[in-house]
Formats: sequence, C-alpha cells, structure tokens
Amino acid sequence: MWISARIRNGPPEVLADRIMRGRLRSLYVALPVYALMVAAISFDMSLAEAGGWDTGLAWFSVTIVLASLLVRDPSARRVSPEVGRFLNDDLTRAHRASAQQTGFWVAVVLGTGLCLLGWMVAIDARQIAFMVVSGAVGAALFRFLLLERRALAA
Amino acid sequence: MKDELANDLRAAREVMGWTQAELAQEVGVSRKTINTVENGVFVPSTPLALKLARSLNRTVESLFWLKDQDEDVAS
Repeated sequence: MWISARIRNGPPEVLADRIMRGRLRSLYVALPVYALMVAAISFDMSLAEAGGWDTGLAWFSVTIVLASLLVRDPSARRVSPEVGRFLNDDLTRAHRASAQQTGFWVAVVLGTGLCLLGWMVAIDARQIAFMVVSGAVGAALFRFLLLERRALAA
Repeated sequence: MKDELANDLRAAREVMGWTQAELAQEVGVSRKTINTVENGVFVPSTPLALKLARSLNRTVESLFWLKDQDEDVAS
C-alpha cells in the first residue's frame, strides 16, 4: 500500500488506523475480483478448456497474496515496528484466528462434499483442489472483512 | 451457561478524561480494540486486561466482572 510522507510522519496510532481502513477498502475490491477470477477459471475448467500454466500461476499468486493477509499484515513490514504493533494487536490477531477457523471449516465441508460427489461423477483432482483452496481463502477473507468492518465502524 | 464479561472501561476512561485513541496509545493497541472491548464485542486477553487496569489506575476486578456476579449482588 502506498503511504504518503505526510501520513508516514504522523503519530503511529493514526498511521495504523489509516492503514487498517485502507486494508479494508482494498478487500472490498479484491474479494469480488477474486470471486470473478475463480468463477472464470471454474467455467473454463467445466468446458475442459482450462488455460495454460500462466492462468494457474496468476490464480496461485493472487491466492497466496490474499491468504498472507490472514497471517500478518504485509504493510506492517514497510512502516515502523511501532505501527506494526498497532496493526497486529490483540483484536486483529483474534480476527485472523476466527477467519482462519472459518476457512478451515469451509475447506472441510467443500472437500468432503466434492469427494462424495466424486463417487457419483468423475471430477478432476485439480478441480477439487482449486475449489477447496479458493473457497477456503475466499470465505476466510470475507469473515475477516466482516469482523474488521464491525470493529472499525464505531 | 455461557459466561459473559461486563466492564466499566468507558466510565473509567471518561474519569481520566481520555478519548479511546488516547487510551489505545497508552496501552499500545489500536482504537478499534478499545472500542470493541468497551462494547463487549471483544474479550481482552489477560495481559491486555492488566495493561488497561494499570493505565486507568484500577484493579482488573473493578474493571471486568462476570455478568452472573451482577445477579449474585442483586439477590
């Protein structure tokens, strides 16, 4: 995230608050874009016309970047440790834990559901992995977005 | 029965004349954390509860208590 010099020189808690709000705004855009991307790739897969390795690499890169938000805020490394402490405080860590839990259960339900379906119709293993990972990351980020929005609202 | 935590954080903060942001800075957490603790949305960890109590010159027990204790006091 780009941080102007004026904001960078402000008090750490103010900078952290702005970064948090910026992160939330980025998620509002990133999540629908990710959903569209996954839907487009799924549609291609259903037609057995999955794109080449570049499509896979694009999906992999976006998934890793989005999933990294559930581990530690990447922008915390670019600013001072003081700001990083505000960005990774108790509440944010609790929100991440809750989001990871949501992602885990979505993966379990999707994975078992697709395995069951696999006994009835043939499903490509790559399709199953793609759906499980995309669903889990998407659901976890959506949960994180809702929790952060509620916390920042008041 | 689910234990629910009540708190007196807002009143204690107002006694000190601090805003949420000022208390957050004092304790070293974000303003949203103070806000969610005050509203009972987030249950703070033990270290955070201790830091809050120390910053506000209160004991942890006077800042946080279980809701069923209210009923015990009333009866």
